[in-house]
Order: sequence, then C-alpha cells, then structure tokens
Amino acid sequence: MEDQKVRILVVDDEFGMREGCRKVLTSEGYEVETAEDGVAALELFKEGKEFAVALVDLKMPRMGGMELIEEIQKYDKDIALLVITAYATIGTAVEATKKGAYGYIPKPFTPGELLIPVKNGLEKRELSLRTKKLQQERDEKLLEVAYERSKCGSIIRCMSDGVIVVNRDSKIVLTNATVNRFFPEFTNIPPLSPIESLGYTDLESLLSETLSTGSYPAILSKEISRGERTYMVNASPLVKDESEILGAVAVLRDISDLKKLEAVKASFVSMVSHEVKSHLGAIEGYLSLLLSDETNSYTEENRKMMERMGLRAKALRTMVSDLMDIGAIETGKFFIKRVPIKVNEVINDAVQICIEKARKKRIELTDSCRDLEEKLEILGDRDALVTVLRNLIDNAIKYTPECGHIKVNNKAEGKYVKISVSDDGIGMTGEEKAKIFNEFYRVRNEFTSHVPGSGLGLTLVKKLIDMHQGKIVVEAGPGKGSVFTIILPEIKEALYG
Amino acid sequence: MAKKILLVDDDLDYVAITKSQLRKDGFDVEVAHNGEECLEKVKKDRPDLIVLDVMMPVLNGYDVCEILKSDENTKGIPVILLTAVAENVTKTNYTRRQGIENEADDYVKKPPVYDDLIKSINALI
Ligand SMILES: Nc1ncnc2c1ncn2[C@@H]1O[C@H](COP(=O)(O)OP(=O)(O)O)[C@@H](O)[C@H]1O
Ligand SMILES: [Mg+2]
Repeated sequence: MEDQKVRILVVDDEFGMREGCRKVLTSEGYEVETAEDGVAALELFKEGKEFAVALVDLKMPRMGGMELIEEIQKYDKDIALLVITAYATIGTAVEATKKGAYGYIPKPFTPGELLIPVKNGLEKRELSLRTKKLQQERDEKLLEVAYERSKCGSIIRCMSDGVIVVNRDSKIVLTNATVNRFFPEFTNIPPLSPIESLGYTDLESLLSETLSTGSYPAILSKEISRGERTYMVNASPLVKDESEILGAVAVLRDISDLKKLEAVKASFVSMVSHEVKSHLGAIEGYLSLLLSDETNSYTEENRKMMERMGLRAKALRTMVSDLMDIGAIETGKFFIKRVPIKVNEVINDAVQICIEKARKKRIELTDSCRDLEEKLEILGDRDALVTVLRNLIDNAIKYTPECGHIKVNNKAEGKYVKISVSDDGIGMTGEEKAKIFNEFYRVRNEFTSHVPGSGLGLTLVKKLIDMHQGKIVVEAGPGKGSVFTIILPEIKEALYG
Repeated sequence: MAKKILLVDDDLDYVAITKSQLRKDGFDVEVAHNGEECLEKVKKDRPDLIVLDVMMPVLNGYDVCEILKSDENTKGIPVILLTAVAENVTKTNYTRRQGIENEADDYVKKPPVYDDLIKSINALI
C-alpha cells in the first residue's frame, strides 16, 4: 500500500471537469480514474477497486452524488469523500458532509483550490486508518487477556482447594466454588464485600498480615478450624512489577481427615510409650536396688554388666519419654507454665546433669554463668528449658570426639536473651543441618554410627522453644564444630511486647 | 521416731522398688494397692505423708485425693500425686481441667525417678 501510488476517483458528468481534474492530480503524482456518473462509479467499487479519495459531483444523471456518497461508504468507510458543487447548491453540500462527505469544493476552482482539500482529505484518511489499527490491536490484547482469564478461571474453578482473593483493602475480589462449600457464608456475597463482614477473624487476620508483609515474596500458613473441620491456609501477597501490592490470595485445604489420623497416631504412640516406659522404670528400679544392696557381693564384672543394663534401660526410657512429650505437644495436651526464671540457674541445672558424662569422655564443659544471682531473667518453664539445654549439651558431648571442648554462654541482646551451646566436634554439612530438627532424623557417617540416639531430641527441643515464642539457630560446618543458639524474648518483651 | 509414709499404687513392682528405697532412707512404709484400701488405712493408722498413684482402678488418685483433702481429719496429711506425662504435665493444667480446689501438695512424674520423689517428700515432711 505504502509505496503504491495514491489512487483518486473523479466522478462528474462533464468531460471537461473530469479531464481537468485528472491533469491537475496526475501532475501531483496521484493515479486518477474517472467515471461519468454514480452508477459507473459504483461499478468500479463492485469490481473491488480501492481509492483513497473520491471527488463527487452532486448533479449527475442516473445516480446523483448524494446517493453515491452513501453507497460508496458501504464499500469503504475510510475513503475521503469530497463533493464538487456549484455555488447554488452549497446547502446540499453541507447536507452531504452530514452524510459522511469530508468536505466540498465549490465550482469553479483553481488547481490549488482542488489540491488543498484533497491533501487534507488524505491526511484525515491516514489518521482514521491509524486509529483503527490501534483500536484493533487493543481489542486483540483484551481478547488475549479475556482468554487468559477464562483459562485461569477454569483452573481455579476446578481446584479442590479453596481460593480467596482480596484486594489491598481486604475486600473480596474472587472466591471459587470450593470456598463456598467450605464456608457457606461466602456464597452469593455482593462483589467487593469486606472480609471482616463474614466473621472469619482468623482468616481475616492472616490476610491482613499477608498484605502488610510488603512485596517480599512470602507465604504465611495457619491452621484454622470451623466446627469439626480444620483447614490449612496458605496466604501470599499478589504483587505487580515486584513492588506494588495489589492484594492477597489465600488457598485453603481441608486437612480434617489428616488431623484425625494424626490424633489417632498420637494417642496410640502415647499409649504404647506409656506402657513401655513403666516396664523400663521397673527394670531400672530393680537394677538400682540390686546395685545398692551391700549384702550382695557381685564380681566387678557382674557389677559392670548391671550398670550397663541400667544405662541402656535409661537411654531407652529417655527416648520413649521424648516420644511421649512430642506426642503430647502435638495433641495439644502438653502445657508449659511460664514463670520468671533466672537464665543462669537453668544453665547450671542442665550443666550439672551433663557434667559427669562429659568428664567420662574427657571433654571440657564450661559455662559462663557461675554467678547464680545474675539478674538476667526470662519467662519460661524451668523443666522444659532444662530439657532443651540438656539435649543440646548431650548432643554436643555425643558428637564431639574425646578431649574436645564445649561452652555454654548466655547474653542479653536488646529485647532477647541468647543462650548458646558450642562444641568443637564433628559438625555437619549444610544439607544435614537443614534436616536435624526432623523427627527421627540422624546423620549417618563413620562417626555417628557408634553413637546411640533416636533422632528425637532436637525435634522436642524445637517444639519446646516454639512454645516459648523463641527461635533456635544452628551454625556448623563439617569438621568445624557446631553452635546451637536459642533466642528467647527477654522478660519484659515476653510480658508486654 | 521414723516418719510413716503410705504408698498407694496397684503396680506391685513399683511398690516393691519404692518401698525398699524409702526404707533404706529410714522411712516407715505402709502399702495400699487401691484407693479404697488407702482410705481405710488412713483411718486406722494415720500416716505422715501419702504417695498416691493417679492411675488406679475403681477409685483413681484424683478421687482419693479429693476425698482426703475435703475431710477435716485428713486434710493436713501431705499428698504427692504420681502422674504420667502423657496424661498431664503441670499443676495448673491439672487443677484447671479437674476443677478441683482440693489439690495435692505436690506432683511427681511417673515412673518416678527416686531422686525426684525423695526431694519432694523431704520438702513436705
Ligand atoms: N552438636 C552436634 N554436632 C554434630 N551433629 C549434631 C549435633 N547435634 C545434633 N547433631 C546431629 O543431629 C541429629 C539429630 O539430633 P537429635 O534429634 O538430638 O537426635 P540423636 O542425638 O538422638 O541422634 C544427630 O543424630 C546428629 O547427627
Ligand atoms: Mg540428641
């Protein structure tokens, strides 16, 4: 189109007029065709010919200009139509512009008077063609978006997980059928209902927390219960261009059946453990009675064996005990009683329990808390925290070769208290480090294969620390020792923070 | 004169073990194997302290404790309850759940580690 010559049609019943126009226009580089009346002109359009501009005389035999203008527009909406008219019929020319003509040229005219409206007409046509193209592009994009939407829509509708989308003002933008099945209150709500109007405070607070996390990609998870059912909710902010928060999405999964199964498992484990534990307690008890009975004269060897029996029974009982505690925490039957306690006393208790074991391995176990009057306090359950530290120190002893060093430190840091247990033992790789808090996980290598254990100690530690709103972090490298640090809120922070 | 402890548990092995240990530490030990027997023995021959297991048939430890603590005559006798971890952990939880005012004087986890038990006994006598 672009490099082709611009084509102009001249329709007039006067031969002189037709040829005059042709001469002027051709000399300007246009390609010109002529017709002597409306019918002849329309023939050309019917043949499929296209013109950028048509100059149309109003008064012609057979079909007049007014009718022709209307007819031509049926073939081509963008063509620039110019009416050629004598002064006497200017009123009709105005009429013609209303019908879609772009302008008119009064007869008689000079070449200049002809060329200017033609050029203007061409420009106008160019403009309307460009607008049309833009419009078409936009429509295509919208169509694409609409198509994408309907694709997403189908995916969301088919999901067996519930989906709720809210905008940044916590108003509901979208829910799928699964949500309505979970929570009947969500059915038929008017668009943009505020989520707080539905009375799901737990869901509402999770979403508002999500909206306030900023654009940093995060997923917040929470279990919420409704009557008999429990749902796992994962919420994440919806972010545009990595900065602007548009809203948040929550995906809900019904985990009630899993929960039930878990509860059955937990109560089974706790029942079995309880039985096991009481038998072990009896074995231990009798052994210690036998050993403490001075009237019996055992050989040194027999005494050793009985001591080993006692140790093994005790190890087994500790393991079962851990299992029971974990089970109790999981079923929500384990409560801790948090009272103000001195950090140094807790550390001292735990160190005292472990010191003998360390000494036997010629490991130097030191702590920086000789001063039991030291004021550093936390809000905690003494038994639980002693258990935590005992486990950490016990591990440090187990996973450090003979003649190693273990240090227990504590310090206040702003609103937190940090207690760390560091050793110069075997350490671990990053991959192992990521798994040590998992139930039953134990690192397997040359060294650990000779160390007895159940892989439950750290699981319990983590749960107990969680119950104290604390955190536990591990720094370690293979062969470089390990540092386990627990971070607990300082007492004022725990009470009023 | 040696202090008298009444040991109440239906587990014969525990009774045997704990009895020997307590005797060795110079206590006079009486034994009952269930709640009813316990109440009878308390009436007949008042002990200085009662160690009471929670898990017993017929009358459990909680019930026995409540009976003892709501009776003017036996109220003053210290009671140590032996409770299993899985069942119950802290005193606050126990009282909250049971709604009992007549609480025991102390709680020791079961199976009892003798050191814990003797510490608790010495604190109460
Ligand atoms: N101080 C430590 N140094 C090296 N490895 C450790 C240390 N503490 C724990 N681990 C690793 O983490 C695993 C899990 O610890 P834990 O849950 O206490 O189980 P257990 O000690 O019974 O094996 C251990 O088996 C060990 O591989
Ligand atoms: Mg361990």
